[in-house]
Amino acid sequence: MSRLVITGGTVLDPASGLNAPTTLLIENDTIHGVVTEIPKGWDDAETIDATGRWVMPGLICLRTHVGEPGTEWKEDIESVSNAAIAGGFTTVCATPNTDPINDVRAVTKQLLARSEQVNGVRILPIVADTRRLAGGTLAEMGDLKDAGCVAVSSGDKAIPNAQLLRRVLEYARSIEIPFFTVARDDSMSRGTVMHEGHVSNRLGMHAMPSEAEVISLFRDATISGLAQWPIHIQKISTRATLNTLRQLRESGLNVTVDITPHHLWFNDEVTSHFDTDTRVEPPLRSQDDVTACREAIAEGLIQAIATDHCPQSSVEKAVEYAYAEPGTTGLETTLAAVLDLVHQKHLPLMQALSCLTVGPADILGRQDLGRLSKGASADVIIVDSDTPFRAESVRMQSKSRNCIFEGVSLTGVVETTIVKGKVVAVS
Amino acid sequence: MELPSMRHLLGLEGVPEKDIDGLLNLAVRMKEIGERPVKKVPSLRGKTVCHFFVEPSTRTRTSFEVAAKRLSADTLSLSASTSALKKGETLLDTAHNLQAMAPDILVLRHSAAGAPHLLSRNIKAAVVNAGDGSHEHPTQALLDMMTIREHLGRLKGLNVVIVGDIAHSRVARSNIFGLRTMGANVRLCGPATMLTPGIEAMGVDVTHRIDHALEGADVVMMLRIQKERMGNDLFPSDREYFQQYGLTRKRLGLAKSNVLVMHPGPINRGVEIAPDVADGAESVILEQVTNGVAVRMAVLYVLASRNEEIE
Repeated sequence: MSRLVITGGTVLDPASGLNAPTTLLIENDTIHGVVTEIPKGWDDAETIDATGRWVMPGLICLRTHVGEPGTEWKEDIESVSNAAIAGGFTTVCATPNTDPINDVRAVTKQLLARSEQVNGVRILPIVADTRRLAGGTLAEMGDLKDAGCVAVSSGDKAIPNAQLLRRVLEYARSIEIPFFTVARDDSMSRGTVMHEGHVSNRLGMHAMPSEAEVISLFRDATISGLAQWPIHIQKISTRATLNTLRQLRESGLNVTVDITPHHLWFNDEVTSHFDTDTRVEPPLRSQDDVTACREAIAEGLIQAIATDHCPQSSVEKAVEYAYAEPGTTGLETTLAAVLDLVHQKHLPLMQALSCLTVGPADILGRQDLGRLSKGASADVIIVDSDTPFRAESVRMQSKSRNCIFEGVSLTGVVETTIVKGKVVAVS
Repeated sequence: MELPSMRHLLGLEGVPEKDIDGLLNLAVRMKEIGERPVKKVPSLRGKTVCHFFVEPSTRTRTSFEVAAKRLSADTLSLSASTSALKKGETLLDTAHNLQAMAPDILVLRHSAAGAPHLLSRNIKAAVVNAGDGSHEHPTQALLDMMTIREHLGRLKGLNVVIVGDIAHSRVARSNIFGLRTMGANVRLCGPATMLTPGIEAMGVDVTHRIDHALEGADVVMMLRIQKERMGNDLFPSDREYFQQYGLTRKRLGLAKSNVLVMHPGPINRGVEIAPDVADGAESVILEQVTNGVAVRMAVLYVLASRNEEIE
């Protein structure tokens, strides 16, 4: 039996609301409890001094592009695990859009085997909704759930066919697996590279209006009601979407959403210089949208912040803006970006941390993750919450350098990452 | 004469009034060279200007070629079909290869917005944007402004109407930036399918009725209906477009008596403009072409001088 004591720090547990100088006890791979005095029998336990530091649940990302199999020049299981360790993420959910796509047991098994081999953070595979993500035949999501997939997803697109979406949701309900999708009306977003607004008027690039997100959310949530299964919409980005979401919730529909840290930080003005690191999906929106999204975190309308960590090499990024692949890395900047927004009083601390811990855990239906309650998995991070640093992709663990926060001053450094009771280090 | 200080010409957004004014003044002097029996000066002797046209173009490319040759620059010319882009090379790789041959100025036409900006950050040569997607076409707007000034003596306070597919027009965008900086009033006209919401924030007026647009106009710029850039859902037919938005002699009567009719070319006669208006006394369409050479000479001259200073 191994015992670990983390003492001297401030323990933050958004699930219980705890934010106080206390001591955290870990026994083997689970949380034993939070105490003010170290109990008898724990004197000989290994001790970590966290004086002046924050002790909190390890972060959970609902949307990470792990790169393996298929695009290992951008990222692989080892590098993504290292990036997660550096950024304080103890659990990352791997999107199904690998190559081959995660629609057969073999791919899920390989992901899990590689993850075990690397022995870093917990990597949870997500199964594709349809074979090849092609929007035709359903993927064998039951078999892949049994193999270890924790959710089913439509990848980077919404399901264009309403009847198919209904079937996916009904089937997901039958096998009890969470469904993730994005809000993106295909006919209004195809070929677009930025937000439709004043900046796109100046730049003359194909642009996606906020309404393309709103109508997709509305349709998908409505079908979710019909299919009687919750729907989780990833990467929402506009004020109009949030206004619609509020109404849908009030009408009793079970819709949860997540947002990326970059949509909480940047507006579309930064695309003015045609820097392809700013090319993300959905596109960066107006400042009014950014403000609305920040307020929605405080309101509790948004349940999770997902990194949408999407590594791209210069092959995909050192090209014309419209030809660049979308995406930015995120695992190593998300916590610092969120904490910086907290320091700037743009986000309330506990709600923001909830969106990185218990929020995503609840969406996955995992009572054992994202919290410091007794019996939960001992996934813990120790953070120096006040130290500012300049984001520099060359110093990051990800294989790719497409970091939208490049050169930006952020706040908060992850000092220790503990997964299942063991301190993990970048390999 | 004080020359504008610019490293590249990527667009007219943000270019200050004095720089536009300087370029236009210089262009007037350059125009005179084209009227001489020997149309050549040695100003850019020993300089190399590379014309890199990834998107096809005839008149802009020819205009730049003539401009560079009148200034005695050596010119070379690449198109998408003759460059390695066709073999899968990236724009940046092609540009680095061109840079290795040390051109002083690279003139780029490209179908993607921001392509000249990408090059300007990665190569040493001065970059001239000869049209990037639907973004900007700064030398076109400069030649338009030069033509207006020649005829009406000023830009400030004039009512300039731009009619057509504003959303997809780099000519319109550069003209909006340039004309607003120079103090002209800009009115945009077209069906809502061709005008993106909120474009008024660029400091322009918007109307969907051409009769309203033309009232009191000093200048009417008709944009080409660019079928290659549009879907099929912007207007029902050429016939109806002409009926609703075509510039006819009757409609032109609503404008000021000394109105100028302009068009960046190539013209679709009978679609956006009636033939008799295109060829009429108000039309300065061919003068625009002549002034295009003068403006491009001015731009090349300024960029070559500026980069000499840096060296």
